[in-house]
Amino acid sequence: MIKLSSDKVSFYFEKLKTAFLICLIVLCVVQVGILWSTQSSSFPFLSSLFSDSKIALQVSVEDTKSKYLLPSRIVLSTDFDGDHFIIPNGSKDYNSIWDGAKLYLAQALDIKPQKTQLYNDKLWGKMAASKPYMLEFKTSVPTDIVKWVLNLKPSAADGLSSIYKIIICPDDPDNGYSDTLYIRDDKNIYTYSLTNKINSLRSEEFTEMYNILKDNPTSKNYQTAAEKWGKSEEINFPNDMLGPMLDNTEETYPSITCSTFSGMDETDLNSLDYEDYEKIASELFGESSRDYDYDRDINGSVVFKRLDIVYRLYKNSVLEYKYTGSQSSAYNLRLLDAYKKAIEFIIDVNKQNNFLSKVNVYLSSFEEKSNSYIFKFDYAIMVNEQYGEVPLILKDYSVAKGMDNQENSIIIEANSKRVVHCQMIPIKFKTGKPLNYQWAFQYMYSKAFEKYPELSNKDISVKNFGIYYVLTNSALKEHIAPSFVLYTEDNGTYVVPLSEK
Amino acid sequence: MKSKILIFIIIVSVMTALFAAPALAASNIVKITRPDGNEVVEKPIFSICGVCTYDETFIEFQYWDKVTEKFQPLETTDGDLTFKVGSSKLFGKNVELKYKGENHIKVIAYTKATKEDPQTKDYTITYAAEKKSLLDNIRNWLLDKF
Repeated sequence: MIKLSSDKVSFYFEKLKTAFLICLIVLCVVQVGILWSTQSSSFPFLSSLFSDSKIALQVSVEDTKSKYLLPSRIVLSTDFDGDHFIIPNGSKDYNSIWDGAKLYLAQALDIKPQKTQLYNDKLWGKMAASKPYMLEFKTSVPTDIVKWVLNLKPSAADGLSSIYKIIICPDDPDNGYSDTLYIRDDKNIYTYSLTNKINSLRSEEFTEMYNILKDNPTSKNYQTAAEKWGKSEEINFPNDMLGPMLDNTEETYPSITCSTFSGMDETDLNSLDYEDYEKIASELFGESSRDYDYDRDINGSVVFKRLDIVYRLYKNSVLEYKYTGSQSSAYNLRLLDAYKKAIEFIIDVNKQNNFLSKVNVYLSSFEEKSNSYIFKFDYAIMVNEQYGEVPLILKDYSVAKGMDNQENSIIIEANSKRVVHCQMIPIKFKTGKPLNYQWAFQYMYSKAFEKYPELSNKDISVKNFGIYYVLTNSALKEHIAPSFVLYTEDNGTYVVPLSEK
Repeated sequence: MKSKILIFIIIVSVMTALFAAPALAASNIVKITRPDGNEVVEKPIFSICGVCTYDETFIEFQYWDKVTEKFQPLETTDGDLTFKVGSSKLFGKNVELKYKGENHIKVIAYTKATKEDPQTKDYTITYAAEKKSLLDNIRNWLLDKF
């Protein structure tokens, strides 16, 4: 038997102690890392080592940010009094026009406008009806955000503060046959004459798309208000509004059913047990559901808590997020930073659950508060590539007693550092069989006046109109159908359901 | 003397209300936005649009019939000969032009009060057939022949 000397024993003992110490240090780092990574304010060095990684999220934001800044409508027009085809959102043509438009925008946003003129509705309406491509956002999008999404370098915008609508006219005969881009924000129309030739959206591409649309009986070929009533000084709606203006037109819209969390209707809510909470948490947060504690507040809403974050799921399927941690105001409030945080939040939600998998999210409006920005987004439900999508709005959608009605699908309050509050409706939409409806703008407009006599009593100014699926509290349990919706400048929303044929 | 002036003013006011106001109103019942003057078109279906001043306005269209040499009622593509414009005050109707070349169209607008003295507007719409390519013409000629 080998006998170890006492020196050797103490040497090996020291080595064992060192190894044990190293082991403890590593475990300590791992433990700290796990804890930190679950916090919203996790340290990048540590979070990079663990699964809930911010860096991974940022890569994802870069990859998907363009999904949240898409034109809500693209129109292809032949001429004034000609054809005006609505390109289905998400279709091959839609993507190819938007890709081409991005090239035109990239060049325009790098140069000074050739001409800036005060916004003139008649002029814009006439151009919208006669130039080949018009792209619209749901709201005026600040150029900072557009540049970030299009990966353009930030630069002085030469007066152009935001982009609401874009008209593209390659070889524009009204501008010396140069490739021309007209951009309108809330105040002006900017004309950009592009010097470097862009190969997209040329006449061959236009003709190819036009021929396919013309031969497709399901294509939506509309007229503009400018073509019918543009000469009048009395009309109180924008000249670039599009629709079947005169004769009733038959259009197909799918029936849509909504589904929310299992057992979330009012009668069942009081009898939710721990397993139900777990199920809801799993539907909402996916794998991260284990990080949340569940509870129910005095109003019967389900509450999920995680460190400095509280989620509250109201009875009518409104999900509220609140950041409860300390908020320092020692930073510059920047719109772009706040928008990035809002988009990161939506992407994060999208990763955790599949409520947004069948919808596209459009920025509808934003406003500045004292220490934050509020971004309002709306859903459009995807039908298929040929048909495109159908937009959804919320009307009289109550949340809880004492709270304002939910006006948009997602409302996010964010500052440059984080999202501080959000209210959204996590609802799944299922498209059903297509049904035929008949409508024309002039008849639906008259019906709106009959249904809402107050429209005749005041000097209303129509902002826009469209066919929307209107979601109300009661509609949650049944299928929703398309309606003609008139928006007025004083924030009025007037809904007239379409008649089924 | 004063009472005579007063009676005179009252008579003038009543006469104005009875005759002048409806006459003025009749001349301003509707603003036609299409056609924009006399137009030349390439399609047989033509839109007539306008904005009314009053809530309940009745509109009729007539065309000059070359055979009878009289204005005849012109039906809209909806099948209406007369239609009422409601509180939205907005209207737009499609009509089919009767002839290639010149079509004389009359738009007649009145309210209940001005039915006897309607506002009328005359337009000449020239229907020039759609421009066709040489290939189309050859094809049409061949179809006609065989």
